[in-house]
Amino acid sequence: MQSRIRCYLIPTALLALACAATPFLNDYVRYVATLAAIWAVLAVSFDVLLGYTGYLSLAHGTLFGVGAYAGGLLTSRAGWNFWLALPVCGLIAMVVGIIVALLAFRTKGLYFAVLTLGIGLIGHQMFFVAEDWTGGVVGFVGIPSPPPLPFLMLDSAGNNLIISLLLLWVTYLAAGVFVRSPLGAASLAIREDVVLAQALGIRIAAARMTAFAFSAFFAGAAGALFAAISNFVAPESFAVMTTGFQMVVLVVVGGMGTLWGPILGAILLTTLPETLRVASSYSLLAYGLLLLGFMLFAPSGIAGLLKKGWRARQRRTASTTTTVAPTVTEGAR
Amino acid sequence: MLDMLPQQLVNGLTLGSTYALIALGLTLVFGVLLIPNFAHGELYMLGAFSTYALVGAGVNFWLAVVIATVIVIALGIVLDRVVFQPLDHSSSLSLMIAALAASIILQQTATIIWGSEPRTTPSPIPGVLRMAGFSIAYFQIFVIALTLAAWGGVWLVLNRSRLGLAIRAVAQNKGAAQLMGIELRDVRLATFAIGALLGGLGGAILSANFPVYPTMGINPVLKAFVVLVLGGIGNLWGAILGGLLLGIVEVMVAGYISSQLQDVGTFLILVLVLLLRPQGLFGRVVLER
Repeated sequence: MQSRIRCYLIPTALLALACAATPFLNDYVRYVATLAAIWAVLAVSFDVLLGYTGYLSLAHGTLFGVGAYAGGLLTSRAGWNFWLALPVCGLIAMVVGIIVALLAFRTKGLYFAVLTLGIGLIGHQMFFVAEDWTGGVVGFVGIPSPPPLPFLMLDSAGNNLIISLLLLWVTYLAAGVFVRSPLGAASLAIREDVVLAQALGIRIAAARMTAFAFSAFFAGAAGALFAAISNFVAPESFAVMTTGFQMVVLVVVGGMGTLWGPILGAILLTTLPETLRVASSYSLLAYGLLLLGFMLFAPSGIAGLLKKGWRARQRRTASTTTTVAPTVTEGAR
Repeated sequence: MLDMLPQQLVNGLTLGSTYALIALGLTLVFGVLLIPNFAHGELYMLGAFSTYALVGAGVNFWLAVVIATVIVIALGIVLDRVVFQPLDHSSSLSLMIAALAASIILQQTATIIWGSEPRTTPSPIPGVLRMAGFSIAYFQIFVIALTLAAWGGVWLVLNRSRLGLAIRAVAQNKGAAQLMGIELRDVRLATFAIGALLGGLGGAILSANFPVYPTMGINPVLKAFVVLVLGGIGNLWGAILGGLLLGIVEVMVAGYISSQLQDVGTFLILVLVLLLRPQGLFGRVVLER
């Protein structure tokens, strides 16, 4: 019961809180929050792959781009409704992702990373080559904004924010369902030891393919939403060393293998450069330094640090009130 | 179409020899220390930029190459100390992510120092050799010769010196090598230094052949990883043959199909080799991958 409260009610309450706060924020804060929410969608879904199965994919920048261009094509050229296009873009990215995964899962470890890096570079190249569909270097212009949500009477910035938060909420809950399922447990077994998992008869192929497809679906959906909010997309948004690399940073800094850590990572790393107003040339350097620093000194990320702090505090309260501790801490939790 | 073939082959060989030169250092570090050094491309880039900066300051090209190579060796050793040694007992995933971070940090630092626009260094050996079916710059002949010399040098060190014996022993079995009294720290230092030397020297020399810019290392190091897959890890012959093969295939794809598909061709080969012959075209030992 308590775990169900933690995994469904808390995110829903936070979503309601954020939606209630939206009308009181100015447009700039709403815009930054929207970006943070989209990055959080990418980070949470990417963590399902990286944090739970241990496979480092560098092709996800391309999958994000596939979703974005598919969204642009469907809503502006084919005239589809945004709400229909969003899941369809996820599905398109998922199909592309499954093809990538069929190739890439023949390898593991470094080879998986190199192969997906290669696929990511080719994908980026293809966005330039397929000019008729993507607009090439010039970019894809005139993508319609998301339609206003009924009954809320919000302007476009507020509307964008609430739609992104909704997508994040759906992603988080879906990821929760996945990691608690037998497939999620199998994913963890793959991360710890592929050979042992195989020897125990765990169906590793199904588990890792589902994890890859899951991350590809939400990367695609996030791409379509990103395209609709920006009204414009260009290939440089989907390069391996920018988007693909940033996803890795958000997940590692936030905390691999927890679902809420990457959200914290996305919020922190999206809002910090905006609030500090550092030049964009330094932000990638800062990302690199952060990634290296966390890898060396706190490999379990912010989530790991928070958990450690929380446990230390609990131990302290437990030791000061030894006699009544069990019931008190149970109640407090 | 066909009368272009000799020229294409020559171009492929020169391009391939640069891939082979970079793959040589990468295969050594990966084969012996099991470190997936993504940042090898950045050592190559820093070798090129150091040479560019020194030549710009009026230093003779060949002297600049020597100084740049020494700088890169020092950087390589620092890289190993700061990034890879603390993670010695971590998973390969941690090593990979740390290498990726190091490579981004070096790229961005270079961008801040030198800016991102491409620079060029004048070739120290001007002139072109013209033959009946093809022409080749003297400098390109020099690059091919250098690659072969580098391969020969590494082969001699590995097979005809005590250090090489120790390196090969560590590559085969770390624990047993330690029991035989081999100092792991020394072998590690030497291996990383030789790897950095090959990367830095490659960058320093090739700064006269290719434009120099902060992200110039990404593509070659990626190609070098492909060469590793083609040739088999830790296989020196494989690195040379795989590099040359890759260069020729790329030039053929670019020349006869489309220059935009050059890289796509590379990764098609990579995928095909991984599917059909995962131990590499020239590899005999099946390694963990």
